[in-house]
Amino acid sequence: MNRKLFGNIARFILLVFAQVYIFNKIQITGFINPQVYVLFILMLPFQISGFWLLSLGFLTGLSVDFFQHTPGMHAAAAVFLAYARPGIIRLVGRKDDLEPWQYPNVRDSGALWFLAYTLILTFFHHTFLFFLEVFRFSEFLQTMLKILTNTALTTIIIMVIQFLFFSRRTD
Amino acid sequence: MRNLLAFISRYQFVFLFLIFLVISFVLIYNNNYFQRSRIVSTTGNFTGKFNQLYSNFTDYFDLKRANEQLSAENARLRTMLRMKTRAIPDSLAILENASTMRYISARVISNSVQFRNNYFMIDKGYRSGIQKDMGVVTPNGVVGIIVDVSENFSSGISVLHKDAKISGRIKKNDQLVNISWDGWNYRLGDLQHIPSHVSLVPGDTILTSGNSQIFPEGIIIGTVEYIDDELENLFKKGKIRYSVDYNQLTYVYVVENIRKDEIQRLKMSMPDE
Repeated sequence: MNRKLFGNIARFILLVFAQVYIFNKIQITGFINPQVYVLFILMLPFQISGFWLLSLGFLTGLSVDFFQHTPGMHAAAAVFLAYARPGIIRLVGRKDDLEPWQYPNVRDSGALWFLAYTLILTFFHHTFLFFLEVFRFSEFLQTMLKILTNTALTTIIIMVIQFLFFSRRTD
Repeated sequence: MRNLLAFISRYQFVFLFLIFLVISFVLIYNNNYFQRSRIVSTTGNFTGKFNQLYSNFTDYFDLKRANEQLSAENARLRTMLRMKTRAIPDSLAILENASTMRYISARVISNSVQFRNNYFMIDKGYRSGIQKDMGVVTPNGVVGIIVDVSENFSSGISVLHKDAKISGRIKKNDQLVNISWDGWNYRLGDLQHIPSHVSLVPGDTILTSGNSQIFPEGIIIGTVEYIDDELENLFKKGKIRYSVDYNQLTYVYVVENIRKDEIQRLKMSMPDE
């Protein structure tokens, strides 16, 4: 149990720093900006209480905000992601043979399940985030394009991370 | 009462979500760039340290270009110096001009171009005399405006921000234009509401007007990329190509306008309408 807790803390720190110092520096056409830190919230245990899920979501978003000078923006989007998570897990369908402390990943949940789960939640998060960022609907098409490209890119990066670090059976 | 409590505990997930969402929106609302000072003064020194570490590392890759830029500027300043000593104009005028603007050099430690609203951070704070609302420039053009100052760091909104509207002047005919950014391509800015009688063609240079008292007058902003001429409109619009590549900022100057307080006071005493 302690190892799981430690894993989550390490993931939190690594993903927030990777977001700020690697993924925020990726600039291809000026609007490519994958939000890979959402992986932390995606990989919280299935049985986590609603209180912790929302609190940790808020904390993750706020940490990214402090580095980007956008207080509240990522916090709101990350809380929205945390709020949508239980519903999406129900929608995508949960396997019954999972232990309560297990968390979503490609090894235990299957690649296809994890891809659907990531794609839907990332899309929700990005839609919320990028509309909050422009804060107007006059740039609608441009914002939609930004949401779609970044959703695709974030999902691809998350799947790569999954296959690199979480596909082998460690225990 | 018991029913109420039961109702709340039943929907606690939704309530908690709404509470967090409200907190976030309050943060967003209170932290548009006018009132952001509190956040940076509490977390700025912490995040600033990390940003500085990161840029200490990445700056090595930029050394060659930064050196070239600095030596080009040195050469330009030397030429100006020689011209000044040779011409001997009214010595009083020089003194007056030179003393209104003061430059503080600083290094950019964090910067972005890919968001809708971009910010940058520099490694000097109020200890070095930096204050809110000072302009930031490079030898190549304007960069942005300081909005937040902590002890050793400050942050500013870049020209690439939806609230950054720069007052410019067309070099060849002194007409005023406003420059904003539409959030799409970080090399191109928007020129809007140019009266149709003003002559403006691609390639024209646009300088700062100096009307805002933030930037010194006559700093280059960019050159006109293209002009959209709609005959039925009274105004035309166009795009400007920024002279600074905002993706490559390293060394900048913060501009202090010594006369700013005086001008502001005068403006305040003017009747509004």
